[in-house]
Amino acid sequence: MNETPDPGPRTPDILLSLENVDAGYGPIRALHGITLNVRAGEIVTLIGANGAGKTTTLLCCSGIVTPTSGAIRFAGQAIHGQPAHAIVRHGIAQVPEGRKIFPRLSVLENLRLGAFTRSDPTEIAASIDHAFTLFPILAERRHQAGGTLSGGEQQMLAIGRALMSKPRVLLMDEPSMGVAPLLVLKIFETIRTLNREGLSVLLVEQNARLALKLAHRGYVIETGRIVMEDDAKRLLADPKVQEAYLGE
Amino acid sequence: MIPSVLSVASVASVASVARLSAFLLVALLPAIDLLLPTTWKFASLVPAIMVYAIIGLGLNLITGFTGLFNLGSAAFMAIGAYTFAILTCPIYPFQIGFFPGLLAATAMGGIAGLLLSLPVMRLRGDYVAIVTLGFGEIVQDVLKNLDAVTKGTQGLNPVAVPAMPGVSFSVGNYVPWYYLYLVLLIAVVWLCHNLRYSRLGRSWVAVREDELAARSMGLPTPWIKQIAFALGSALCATGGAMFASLAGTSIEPGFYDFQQSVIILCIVIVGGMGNITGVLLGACIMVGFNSIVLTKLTEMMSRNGWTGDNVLASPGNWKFMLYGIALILMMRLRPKGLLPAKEVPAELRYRDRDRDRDKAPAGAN
Repeated sequence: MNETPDPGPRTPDILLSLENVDAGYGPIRALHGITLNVRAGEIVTLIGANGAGKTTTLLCCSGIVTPTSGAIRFAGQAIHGQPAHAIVRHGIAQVPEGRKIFPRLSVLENLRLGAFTRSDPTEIAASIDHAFTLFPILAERRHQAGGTLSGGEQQMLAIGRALMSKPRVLLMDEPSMGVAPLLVLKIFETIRTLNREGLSVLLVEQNARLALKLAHRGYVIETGRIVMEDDAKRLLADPKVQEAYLGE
Repeated sequence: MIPSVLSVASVASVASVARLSAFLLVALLPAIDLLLPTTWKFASLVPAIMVYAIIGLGLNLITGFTGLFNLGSAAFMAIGAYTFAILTCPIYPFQIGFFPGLLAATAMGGIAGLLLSLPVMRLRGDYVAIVTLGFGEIVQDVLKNLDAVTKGTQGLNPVAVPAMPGVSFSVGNYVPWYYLYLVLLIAVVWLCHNLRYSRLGRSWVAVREDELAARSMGLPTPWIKQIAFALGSALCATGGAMFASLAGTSIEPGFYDFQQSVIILCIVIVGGMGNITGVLLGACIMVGFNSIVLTKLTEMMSRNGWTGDNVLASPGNWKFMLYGIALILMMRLRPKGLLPAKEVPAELRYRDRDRDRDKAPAGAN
């Protein structure tokens, strides 16, 4: 009689979850029942071949692609079907594939646009300072047009811009694409720093080795289905993963 | 160090001297005009340029800043002109006068722009152009066929002229128009400049640069495009009402045709899309050529007896050929407009403002 009541499935620390998500483009189905979750304070990586559905999964989370079925929850609240601009306000920010900074706006204007959902000027100024602390090169180039930055600097700008909305989860799509190797390391180092500050990250990355070294957990996606899910360390040691994605 | 500082200083002073002299020239033009021989006087034609500059600035919000290709700007000019005419023409009971009429025309243009933006906001690129092109044709036909209200092809006249104590606005005396319209133009330039560097203006440019990225930054892009459309159309309507007042009539529906839209678009393109100074320059070139150079050329040719049955004897007959050649040369030689380095001067000015703004919170703490 003095049993504690059953708390049910223990999920309070799950921040972002996808449950059986189907999505596609017109008649083409890209995702077949994707289920994955990101817990608070975690870096989760999604690895897979080109066209496996990695980017589509992220676009579903950010609302750019609307799932045809299934549920996406953020902090317990269903967000699927909401428009992208509303989802940002919940605390989900995206660093899009290919960076997609605004090339003819200055670095500072790019950052200010990232803070579109916020209104307090002092807090926004503090976030700009934070971005400049993370990436001092952006402070140096603050009045330069975004399009004149190098690939790596643009990636930093894209990350800085995404952080301006004060997200709780950062969706990152191929942050190493088109970036010089040294800068890739610097960017991954920054992701780790941000994560220690409490940010959760869902990372899609071609460079599976680097991604699995950084992440706490990983999912492997093949033709729109999750085929493996494990600790990042165990995935890194898994012979199948090594053969298919790590080139060993 | 020293030479670069010197060159920066001299560039700045050259720019400010140029700006000051341009301002003085515009402010004193009616006086200077008095000194010119009768055949060379042209200041009376300048208020029309100012009107087109306002219309161009309106289209610039839509096409230049936000990147929506609008081929129906003349329709909004017409909406402004006819709203103004209906509300001020003595044949109707309203007769609310110039300034209320101008405000009403602006509001009507904004409402029409907002309505048109409903189907447009989901479209991109060429499709926006097609919808606005169709809208332009519809407005012309409606005005032409709604005889009972618009008097069809006759147009509505007379319409109100500005009424200000101690100043008489009449067809014969352009000077009051000149200064009133100059003040209105300066107000619109000030408005557009502040809009561009506001949160809204940044959002417009972001939508133009990359709509998907803008959405994933939390920008409600349909709404942002709608605001651009409504504000830009409102300014086009303001210009239409000002033009009607200047002309003394709503003119006739056929005046607001596709060619008119193209001329307005050229004003925006020739100067450099998205650049306010460029739009002013574009208005001077496009309308100045049409209403000053061609007019003077025609006068000169008829004085010298160069008229006749030859179609080439009338410069008005080959102006569109000249426009065409000019546009082809522009696209070939300066595809980004006459003032293509638009972001650079904007940034230089912005830099000082930002520095102050960045310092302000630090000082406040």
